[in-house]
Amino acid sequence: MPPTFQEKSDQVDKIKLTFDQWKAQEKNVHDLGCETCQFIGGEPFLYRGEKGETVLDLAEYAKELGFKFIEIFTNATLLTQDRINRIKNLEINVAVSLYSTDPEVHDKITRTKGSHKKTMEALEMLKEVGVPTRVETILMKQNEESAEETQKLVDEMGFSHRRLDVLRQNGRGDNLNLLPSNKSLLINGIMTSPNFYINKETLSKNLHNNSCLSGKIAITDNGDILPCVFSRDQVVGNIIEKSLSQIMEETKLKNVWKNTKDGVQVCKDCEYRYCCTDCRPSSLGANQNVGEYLTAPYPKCAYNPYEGKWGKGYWKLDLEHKPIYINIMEGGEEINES
Amino acid sequence: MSSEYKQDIKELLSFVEYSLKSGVFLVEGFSRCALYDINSGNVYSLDKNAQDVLTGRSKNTNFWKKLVSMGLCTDKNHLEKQILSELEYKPSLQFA
Repeated sequence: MPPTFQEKSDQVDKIKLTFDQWKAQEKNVHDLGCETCQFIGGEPFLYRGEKGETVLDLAEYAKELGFKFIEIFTNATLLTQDRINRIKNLEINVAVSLYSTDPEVHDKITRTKGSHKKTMEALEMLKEVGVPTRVETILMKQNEESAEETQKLVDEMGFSHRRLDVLRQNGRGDNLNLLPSNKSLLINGIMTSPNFYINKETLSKNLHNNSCLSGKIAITDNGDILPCVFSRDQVVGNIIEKSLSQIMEETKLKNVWKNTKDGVQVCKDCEYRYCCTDCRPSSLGANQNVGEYLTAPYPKCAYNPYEGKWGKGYWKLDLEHKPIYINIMEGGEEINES
Repeated sequence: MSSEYKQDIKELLSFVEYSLKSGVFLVEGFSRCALYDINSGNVYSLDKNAQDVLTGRSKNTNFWKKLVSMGLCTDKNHLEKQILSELEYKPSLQFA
């Protein structure tokens, strides 16, 4: 649920949701049984309603509706003591992007001088007040040298975090100069040995649905419904034109939710296909112009199901749309294996 | 290299008195296969020879005995419960 700005020029003229329309969508989402919501951007604290309402007003309404988990994903530069106190009182969660321990690297990535200082100050305030906060780092070329150190700092500060999240080749990330090096990908971005766990719930889900996207939507500020906030070009409907429940009944979203790995190139031939993870935005991003959203091979796995071997590389499509295995050599060089 | 679209998962594969336990599934891949054990959470990688034994294309009692010792198989000759049909998942909106 991202009150965000759009970067694409063809979307600039679209009507933005009003504050009341946002509230109505929150209610619709909750009425459909959803208990988890996240406000993400862009930068959600840039959002202003017609009467100056902020993302905290939307979060407060979500709380009133009864959402069990509410999170605001922010760069934290606009967090003030008052806002943090209100977040605390609302008993909601915060996720913060931190790119590096090195202020210069962080500011270069955000393209905003002084942003690292503001983010770190906000993190101190969040810690002081005791707001449940996770701090996430996107792995990219500019911060790959300091990424692990950044996570160490996050640990030392007492915040939670997930694994380093490799930059997806979508939106601003669609720039080869920003992608982490192959050596870095092998360490942090590609699964190079089996590490699977399976239970009844996961198997049930993966046999019939996409392991990541099923049950999720994102709503943009012009009312577009996306299967994922990283899939800006995969609009499955617009809630100004149709109700959310109508959109959820239509084929477009259903096809995404039901997209199992039986339909994904390479993965469909893998014996681990019902116990592994997926990321359609990453898959499409890595196979631009040759791959399709629902079928492009998953680029974060080094397993070769045709040889039954774990390698050091990844799958992608060649210009004829056929999967090829890209071997990553010790120095990071690539060798294609057809 | 490629194969057709498929959903392929098997349960309760058996040989004489041996049978995979409920919750242990065989998933076949192009060159290997895997046993998923939802009781323990473990996923085991097997080669084509093991796959042939499990699917009855070849016989190897020792392999079945090994599966018994690993808790993946029973030799009690009693009927294990099918649960594949219970593995349904109707997606509902969970995250926005």
